[in-house]
Amino acid sequence: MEFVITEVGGATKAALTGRLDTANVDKIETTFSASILPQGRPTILDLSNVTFIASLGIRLLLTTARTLGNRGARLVMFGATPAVAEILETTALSDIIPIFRSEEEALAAVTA
Amino acid sequence: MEQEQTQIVTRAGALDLIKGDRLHYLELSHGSEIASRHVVGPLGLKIGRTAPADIVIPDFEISRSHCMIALLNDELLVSDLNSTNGTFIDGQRITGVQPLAVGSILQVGNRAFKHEWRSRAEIEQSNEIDRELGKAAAYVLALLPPPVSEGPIRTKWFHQPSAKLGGDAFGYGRLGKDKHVCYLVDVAGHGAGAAMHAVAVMNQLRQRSLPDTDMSQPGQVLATLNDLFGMEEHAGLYFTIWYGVYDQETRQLDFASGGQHPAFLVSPDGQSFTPLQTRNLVIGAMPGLTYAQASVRVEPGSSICLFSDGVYEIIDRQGVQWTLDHLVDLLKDPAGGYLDAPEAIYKTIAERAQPHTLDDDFSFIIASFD
Repeated sequence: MEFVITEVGGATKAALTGRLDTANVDKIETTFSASILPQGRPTILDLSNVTFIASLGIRLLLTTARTLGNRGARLVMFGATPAVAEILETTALSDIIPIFRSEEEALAAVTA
Repeated sequence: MEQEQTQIVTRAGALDLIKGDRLHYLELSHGSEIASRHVVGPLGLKIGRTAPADIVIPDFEISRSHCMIALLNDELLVSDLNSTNGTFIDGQRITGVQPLAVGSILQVGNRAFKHEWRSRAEIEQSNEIDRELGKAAAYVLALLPPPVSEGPIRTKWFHQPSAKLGGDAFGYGRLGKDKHVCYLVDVAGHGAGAAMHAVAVMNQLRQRSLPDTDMSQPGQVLATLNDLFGMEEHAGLYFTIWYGVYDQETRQLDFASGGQHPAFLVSPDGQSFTPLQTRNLVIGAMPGLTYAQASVRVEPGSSICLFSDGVYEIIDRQGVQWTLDHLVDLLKDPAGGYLDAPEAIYKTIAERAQPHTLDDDFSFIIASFD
């Protein structure tokens, strides 16, 4: 599990790669949060290289969205593969963190 | 000459490590307990099916001399000894000599060893934590209802807490005169905190009473739980739930799920699986939500399968990430007899899963109707 943080058009872009399972969330949680939350900027999550999300992964996304939300910044996702989209649909997470198909749509949504 | 010197330095380094504070261990877990812990010394360890291997595993999937673990320059190196079924590190079959990082999982046959690098004091502390987790697991187990072998609804279940304790809990029983209730809660997270949260939710549901809530209306129950168990007031913990109420008179089952995969209504012949799910957020994510519920008629002789995600969120030996479809296909196999024996489901899945991916609580309940 890896993630890369970049800045795109005034937003933070976090691209995750691999399985967001229990063991990997334990490994990246602190650095992931520390890389995104202090800026308090609108954030887009690139899920196109994520192959699986376990419940702890959902929790990491939820807490990230809430903390950003408290600072007035939105979090959205894009690029979920069909398998990951199905997991997200089960949890209805998109009610809190909207899902878009492309990076452009995601970026337009957070910076609007 | 230079080579000899290098060897001497390496050996001395290894011996220093043994005398020093921290040691390299291979830990073998079984269910919620550490089954055994093996120190890897400067002479290394051999794993195989028969003596003289240092770790003998009498299992037909393991070759007589299966793999070797060496300690070199403070690093564990694994080499497969031309075994039939291979040696795996974190799910990848190894070729040649490969390092085993601290925290990585070494898999041989259906056993998984975790590489730990710890001092004796840390081991003691970890044993204490394991004992505490064992107590928490026993506490959850004591809250689970006994199987029911007679009456209009029979139940069987199998529950295997994971080594880290995953936060599963479930219950069922009467609700008033003609109704029956069944639910399964899965707290996201692991350890005693997740288990305590599951127990708190269970204690509410076991009372069959929530403030200003009709307990026979699943949507209302989930909405109230969502308001009572907000993540912000509960250490960032949320949970998923499936909650169903069956009316014996009308044969109607009302149900709602919050962030959880479906339960399944299974036809008497065991071949038709109808998913029972309503699209709702996980419980505790955001206050003030409403939760949708739905209904289905339960035909005589049907049954319901209710289970946690730990049952099917595995990667099998072929490297395939399982989904619900894989599980349903398995349950449909008439030769398996799974719908009569939930422990057989666990046994089969444990055989098929790469051990380190069977790392969540496993809870499976089957309720059969007259």
